[in-house]
Amino acid sequence: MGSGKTSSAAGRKKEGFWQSVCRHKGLYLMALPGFVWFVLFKYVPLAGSVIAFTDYDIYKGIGGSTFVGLKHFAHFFKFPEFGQIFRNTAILGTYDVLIVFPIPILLAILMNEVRGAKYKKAVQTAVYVPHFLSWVIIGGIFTTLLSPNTGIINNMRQMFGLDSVYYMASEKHIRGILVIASIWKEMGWSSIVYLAAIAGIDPALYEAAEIDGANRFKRMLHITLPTILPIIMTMLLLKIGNFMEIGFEKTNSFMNSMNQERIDVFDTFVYRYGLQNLQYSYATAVGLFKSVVGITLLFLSNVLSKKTTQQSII
Amino acid sequence: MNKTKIKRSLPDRIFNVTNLILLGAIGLIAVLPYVNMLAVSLSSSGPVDSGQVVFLPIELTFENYKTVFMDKGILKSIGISAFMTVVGTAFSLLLTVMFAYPLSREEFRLRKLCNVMILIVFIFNAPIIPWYLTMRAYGLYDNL
Repeated sequence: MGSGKTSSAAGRKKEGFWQSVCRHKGLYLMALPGFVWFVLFKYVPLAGSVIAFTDYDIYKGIGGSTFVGLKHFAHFFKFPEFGQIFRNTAILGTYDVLIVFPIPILLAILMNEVRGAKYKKAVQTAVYVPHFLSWVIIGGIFTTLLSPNTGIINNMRQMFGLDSVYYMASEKHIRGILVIASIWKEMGWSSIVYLAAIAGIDPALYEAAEIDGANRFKRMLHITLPTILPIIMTMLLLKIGNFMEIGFEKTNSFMNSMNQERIDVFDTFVYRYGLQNLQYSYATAVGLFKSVVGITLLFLSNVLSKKTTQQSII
Repeated sequence: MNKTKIKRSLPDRIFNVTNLILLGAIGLIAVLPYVNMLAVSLSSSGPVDSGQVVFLPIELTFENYKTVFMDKGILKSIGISAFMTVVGTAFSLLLTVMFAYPLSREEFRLRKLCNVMILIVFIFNAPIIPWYLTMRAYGLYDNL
């Protein structure tokens, strides 16, 4: 195997694999627990996805289940609810990218323009607060605030002589409510990344621009934005990679039988069919389909971003 | 004052004031629902049901908190959360650090393989159902 020469760097290169392993036992021992964790908790479940192609029987196990090919996928595509779930996911995902995503950037830029350090700190702390609430609680808060009889919003409407609206049960409003809730919850927290990026900008750039006669707005547009563009692109790509990931907890906290048609997404569908109706194979097929669409989107946007802004994450 | 104040133009000052007001409003919007929840939790049920409680508790009472902290189920949940946070963080930190060090060393021949292995599941996660079935098979379901 090896030549036995271990003193020189060249000798080490020729060293056989097992010899090298023996010499650096420590490294391999250190890596072992992590490696085993990845196999057990990531790759075994991933391999378990084959049940999407079988009629999984919980008593017979994966080996004993019959192979059915793409039956579950075909069944899903023909399913009348498929179009609705796909549409809901796509619309909510698009809102997430177009509306929820840019707001933290704006917020960070505006916060950067505040001169009083104490005021800035206070606002920052205040906007971080909702991030620490779970979606279930936020669902509760919104239900209370939007309640048709006792909610603040409807009380205000009544004060102006308007009819009260049962927002949580209104198909017309529920997607907007979800978007507002997402903004409210994550706006401050997501702005941290951009604030950090802005803090790293060389002040000399601003001074130079000021001397050249650039006003506030122009400095934002020509210095702040271009400098943080790489971070914006990275965050955008990550967001698009999660396009299909609307989030079970979030949607489920706002869903009821009245608005289900508008916000039923893949995550809630998989939960209903897989864990509640115990159609394991079918739900796995739907989950796999979702993952594949998500990955395709990620790669597409990565290529697009590489072409347009020279930024990429893969 | 020794310092000469830099004179700011009118549009600049207008922008400053608008910005401060806007950010203040955003901050309030983020915090006020919390204040409302706090007030509701400290009020007795009568005023809450009739929608009188806004930001200040009416008929101050700690009954709700007493009920919560007397509830065995909630105490158990808090215990489980604390356990998961402490043990989970310690354990995951240990695993991550131990795995990350070899990955940074040239001598570790499986470096490439391990990096690819991590990257793949970074992008491609198992759907929730097989994940759930695997965890159940390991006996990790509902056992704490």
